[in-house]
Amino acid sequence: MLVETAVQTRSFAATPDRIPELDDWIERTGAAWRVREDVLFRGRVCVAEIAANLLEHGRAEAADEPMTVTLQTDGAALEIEVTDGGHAFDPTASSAVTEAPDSLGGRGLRLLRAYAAMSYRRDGGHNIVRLRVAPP
Amino acid sequence: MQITIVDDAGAIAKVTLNGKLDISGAEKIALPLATLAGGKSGILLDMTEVSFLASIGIRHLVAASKALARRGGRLVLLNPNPMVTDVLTTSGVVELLPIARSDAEAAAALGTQA
Repeated sequence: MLVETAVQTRSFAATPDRIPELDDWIERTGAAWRVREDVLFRGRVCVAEIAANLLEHGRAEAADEPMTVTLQTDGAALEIEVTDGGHAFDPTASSAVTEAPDSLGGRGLRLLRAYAAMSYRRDGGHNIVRLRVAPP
Repeated sequence: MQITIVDDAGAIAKVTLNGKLDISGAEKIALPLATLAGGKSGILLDMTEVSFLASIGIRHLVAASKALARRGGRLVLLNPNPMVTDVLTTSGVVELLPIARSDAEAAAALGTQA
C-alpha cells in the first residue's frame, strides 16, 4: 500500500462564528485521512486554544486577518501550522506560563503543552505556531 | 450544542448537554448554567453526549461550580467520554469539577440519596 503524505490548507476569518467551521474542517479532514481519533481530538483542542487566545487577546492589530491552518499527516502524527495576524504571542515562552493558572489562558496553555510539541516564530507581523500531535 | 434541563423541580438540577462544548457551545450553555448555579444547591451535568471540550467551555463549568460552592453546593459531571475526561484532567480542574461514573456516584458527590 502506498503511504502518501497528505496536506491541506484553509483560511478562516478569526471570528467566533467561523471558528466552529474551522473545527468541522479539521475533524472531517483528519477523519478522511484516518488519523487516530485521540490524536485528532487533541489537535482540535490545540487549534481551539490558539483561536480562543487570538479572539480574547490578540486581534487588535489585525482584526480582518484570517487564521490560516495547514494540516499534514504521515499516517500517525498530525502536524498543524497556525498562522495569524494578532499580537505577538509565543505559547512556548516561559513568560507565557500559567501567570494566571485559573484563567482561560492558563488552562489553554496547559492543554497545548500537554498535547503537542510546539515551535513558534514571529514573521512579518504574523504568529506562526507549528504543532505536532503524536499518538499518546 | 443542545442543553436540556431534565429535572428542575428539587434542590438539585439535572442537565444534559449534547454536542461540542466549543466556542459556540460555550455561549449556548453560559446563561442557563449560570441561572441554575445561582438558584440550586447542586447541578448534575450529564456529559455523556459531549463530543468536544476546550478551555473556553471549561471556563463556564468552573464559573458555575464556584457559584454553587459559595452556597455550599456542587457541580458534578456525569460520564464524560475518555477524551473529554482527559481534557478535564490535563487542564487541572477535576478538584473543582468532580466526575461521577454512575448515578450512585453522582448522588454521593452531590451529597444526596441515590
